[in-house]
Amino acid sequence: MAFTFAAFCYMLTLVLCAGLIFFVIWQIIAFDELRTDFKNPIDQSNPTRARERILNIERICNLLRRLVVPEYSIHGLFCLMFMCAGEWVTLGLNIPLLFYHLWRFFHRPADGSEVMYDPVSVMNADILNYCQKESWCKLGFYLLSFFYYLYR
Amino acid sequence: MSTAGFNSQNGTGTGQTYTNGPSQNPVALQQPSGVGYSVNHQPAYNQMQAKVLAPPGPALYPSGPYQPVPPGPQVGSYPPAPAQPLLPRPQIGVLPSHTPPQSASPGPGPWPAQATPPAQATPPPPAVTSTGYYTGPPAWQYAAPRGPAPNHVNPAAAAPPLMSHSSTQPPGPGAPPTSIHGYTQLGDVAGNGPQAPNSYNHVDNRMAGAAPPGPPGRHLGHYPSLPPGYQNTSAPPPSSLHPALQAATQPYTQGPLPYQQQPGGPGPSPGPAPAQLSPSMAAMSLQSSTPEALRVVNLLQERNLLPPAPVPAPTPCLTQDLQKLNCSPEVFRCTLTSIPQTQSVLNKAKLPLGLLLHPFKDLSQLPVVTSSTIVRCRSCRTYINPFVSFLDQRRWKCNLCYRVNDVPEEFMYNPVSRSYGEPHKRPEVQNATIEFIAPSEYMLRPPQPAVYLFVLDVSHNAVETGYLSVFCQSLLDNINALPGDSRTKVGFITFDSTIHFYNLQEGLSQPQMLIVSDIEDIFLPTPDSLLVNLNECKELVQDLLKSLPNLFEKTMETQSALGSALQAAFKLLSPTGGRMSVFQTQLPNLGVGALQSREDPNQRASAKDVQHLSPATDFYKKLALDCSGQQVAVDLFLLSAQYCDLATLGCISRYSAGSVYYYPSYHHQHNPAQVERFQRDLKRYLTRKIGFEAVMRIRCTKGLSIHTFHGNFFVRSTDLLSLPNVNPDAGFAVQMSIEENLDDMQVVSFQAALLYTSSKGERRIRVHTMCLPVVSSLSDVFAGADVQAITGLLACMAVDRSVTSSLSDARDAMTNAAIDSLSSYRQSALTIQQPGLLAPACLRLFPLYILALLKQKAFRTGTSTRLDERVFAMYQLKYQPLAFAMLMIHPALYRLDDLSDEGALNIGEQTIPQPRVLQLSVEKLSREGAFLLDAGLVMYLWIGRNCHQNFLSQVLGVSSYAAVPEKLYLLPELDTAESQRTRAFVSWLRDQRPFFPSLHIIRDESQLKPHFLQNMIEDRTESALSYYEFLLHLQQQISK
Repeated sequence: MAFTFAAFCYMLTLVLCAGLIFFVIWQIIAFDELRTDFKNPIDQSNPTRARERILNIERICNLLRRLVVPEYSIHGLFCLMFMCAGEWVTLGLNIPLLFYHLWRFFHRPADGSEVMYDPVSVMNADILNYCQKESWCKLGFYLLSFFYYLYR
Repeated sequence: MSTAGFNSQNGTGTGQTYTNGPSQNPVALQQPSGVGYSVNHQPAYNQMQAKVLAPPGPALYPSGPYQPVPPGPQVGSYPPAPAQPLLPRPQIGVLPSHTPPQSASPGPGPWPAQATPPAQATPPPPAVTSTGYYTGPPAWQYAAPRGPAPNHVNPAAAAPPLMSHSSTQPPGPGAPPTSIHGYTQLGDVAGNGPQAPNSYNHVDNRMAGAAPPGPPGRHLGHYPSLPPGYQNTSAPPPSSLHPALQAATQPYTQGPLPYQQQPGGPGPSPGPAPAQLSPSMAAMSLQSSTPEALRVVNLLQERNLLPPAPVPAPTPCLTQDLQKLNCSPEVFRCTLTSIPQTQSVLNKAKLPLGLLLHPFKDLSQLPVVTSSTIVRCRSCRTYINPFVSFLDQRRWKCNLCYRVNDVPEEFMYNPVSRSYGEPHKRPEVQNATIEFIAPSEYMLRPPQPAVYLFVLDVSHNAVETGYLSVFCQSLLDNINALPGDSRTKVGFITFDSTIHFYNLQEGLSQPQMLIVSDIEDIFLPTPDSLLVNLNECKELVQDLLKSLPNLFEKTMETQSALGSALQAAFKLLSPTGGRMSVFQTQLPNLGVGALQSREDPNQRASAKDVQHLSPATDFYKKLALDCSGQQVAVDLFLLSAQYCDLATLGCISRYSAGSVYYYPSYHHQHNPAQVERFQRDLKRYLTRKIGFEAVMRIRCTKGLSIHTFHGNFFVRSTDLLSLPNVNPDAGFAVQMSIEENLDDMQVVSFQAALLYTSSKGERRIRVHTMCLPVVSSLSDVFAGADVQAITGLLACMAVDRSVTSSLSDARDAMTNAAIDSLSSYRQSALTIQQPGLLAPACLRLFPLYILALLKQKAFRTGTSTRLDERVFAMYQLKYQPLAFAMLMIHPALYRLDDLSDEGALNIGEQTIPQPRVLQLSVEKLSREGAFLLDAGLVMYLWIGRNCHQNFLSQVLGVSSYAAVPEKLYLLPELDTAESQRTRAFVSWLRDQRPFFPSLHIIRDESQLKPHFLQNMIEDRTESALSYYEFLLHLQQQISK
């Protein structure tokens, strides 16, 4: 019994967790890309480059935003499955992140359509720093849980 | 021009043009020899400050800036203004006017120390939650200093030896009195002409003729050249003082000072004997070296905290040499003029750290340099500035990243003295504010021409308001004054439910209107001929402007397709970039970007949270980003009686670096005050300087980091703001944190560099550099606090907070800011505890300003406020430069019926009386008087019921109080001394700002009286605390 459903859960989460890790790595790269502007300051201040840069920022933000819901729902699925399988310890490990995700999702700026990663504010260093740190922490968490699931 | 100051370049003045050319440059060619090249803006600055001369009362007025002079009957000993009307005061070089005000001036008579006792039924105090703006330590904090950078910024090296001491001096007392006047006048003239690019020669001339005939810095001699306090702790007491106090220490030797007699305790009389001093003051005098800025003030007991004149900016604690070179506080201001060494000290102080900038301000003096190489640091790209240190003749060390750079060969030659080998005397190293004409490597595409596109609402509603004829007339009048060159282009689009384009191509006999009714998929009918060269097609443009108001007179179309019109305008402008001016009179309700009314009129006065402060759709924001990418800025003029959803529409300007103008209830007949405001604002708007395709970068010394920006722009990278247009009326604010300890530094620097294309098609860089000391102790941090800048920054932060979180959250955070900083001061910086609400003298106005913010239109609750007006107030707080934002937060109240020439200011032939600023309390009003309330965008002249007959007849031209008309917007031009004085004062106030405040003359029973009384922020209202109650609330929270 314990072998069947719970084992299946762990196998599935293992795969999905790998996916999440890739998501987060992609996020980290994206933030890094946001942070690095043109290297040459003369290019930076050049009006013709402005458009390129703004499009770039918008594109990255759009992608980031599109990944938010999949990531959160996959993690929600983990919690659901562990709950069904009665893996309370594993569930307990994941609950804090679940609440964090819920908070982040519902406590976003009251700015109607934008979820997070608003192109007009994301370049403020404090927001960018926060997002970057968040991704690194999540990466650590997913990696640890990956090995946890692996050796269960 | 009447006023020779900064603000003289106000569109409201005479019909002068604002060109972008290096107008200030050739001025120097003809200037009288008395005015040095490096006389930066101080003359104007000081003229403004001369207001302090005003108080006619007893000589005990500790009128802040003049501390170096012993008290007593000295007021009259200042260069008597009437005799030398235009002469800057000799102390200019020392900038004494920056000294913090010597607080708590005793009023003309003894006031009861006890304010109104707490009333019985007080409104509920603001809830206190733990939300503060600065919680927790920063994420990235390094305990140990990183990087080897030892401190080489010893002042001697950091400031190049001031060999040109004499030449940097402003004209001494003997200088020809025409100096300033000549400057501005010439500037006006020269602004139009083509400019000789060879600035070297100009610089030459300037510097060569710069030596003032008068003795250099007469007053400088009085100042012992003290090392700054941070540098020499073992020095004798005076040197360890905050220099704000140096001014104070000096008169010490000369005699008793007014403020020494200030009681810290209950003594209400202006001059108690020492025996009456409260324990704290006695203790303070034992310590005797406590700076004035740190003098303990018990807010609950001292009532008259407001200085009689506008609050000056505090002077940073720097050596005289450095301070003299430092950037003007009108351009660059920091909330803490002493930067804490570590983030933990900053956290302890609970004060926000940030900068407030006004980078493109109209300056009357601006050195312009043309050079093929602009000297910049090789690693951080900082422009060379007065605060770098020269290791030797060939190498300089960057003051931001401490990299050692080579001095290029060209820089060795000093065009000023025509000598070789004196790089430290170059203008770049002598001026904290300087403009470079950029060489070609700063542009990859040719500089864009000046392009202006006007997008006009012509729906029925718009025609009803009658704005169209005012606009057309105004543009006709100023069409030759539009900044630009031979390439200037203009275009027009009008819209209702369809979009109308105007073909203005050369050769047509009359303008041709093209109507596009497919608003879902907008296209340009004839892309080439819609934007035309202004010079070539001026007549067609004029024809169009003359016929436009009549064209839509009978329209019955009520719908408005603003979104599509904006898209069309964007398409039209995107190949070149430029400025789009949008005039809108109603809620857009058709096509893309259509909006619904979100305001519930019944909720206007609710004390609950205000909804809908954030945009309803991101259409306008996205369009703004597109505009920003194509170097298009959108300025929004909103003229509407109904709700227009400014929160959504404003995004179009906010992210494209435009500006927002709002004229509630605009109507050409019913609201003449608004019409006049609109006219004046338009004139200024059309003729003011403009910079295209601009970027601004703010750099700061390694260890500090900038993290949040406030204002209208798009943040393109973490330190780069993208500004498709930059205008001289825009202010910016940034927040900073300390990421690495600044242990081994004595000073830090900030540099704002604004790269823009002038309307003449030149690529220019304006660079401002400010230098501030670093201190390690908490009390020094408090001593350097700049209460106005702190308030301005807190207001910006609170606007953000109310949008991202909620209004009540923002209000709590503001209250907590006051509580936290005062309690931290009490716990950490005060050595002797005593009862009461204690604040350092430099922060004594902090609770008052916080209360003013809580009662400001943007943040108030419980008072009926329209959503659009609230949002507009929020925009203004973020957008206006600090000086004007402060007026909007804490208005100024003057008594006008007893104006006298005593202490008046003389500008040109005019005498401008300087009444003292009164506290904003009904207690200060009297029925016998007439009072002017100056709230920035609006002024109220309140006439008391028993106003002097003299004032009524001589100023208002009416026989009795009852004869004062209900709606009066103008002071009649009477040929009496009183009338002249009053009008001179009001117009002087108006001339100082780039927008036009409308004047309402109100009687006691006028329907505008509630608006007037809402500004009495020290009084209690139904929904808000009085000042005294607020203080009690703070005290209660602090002692908890």
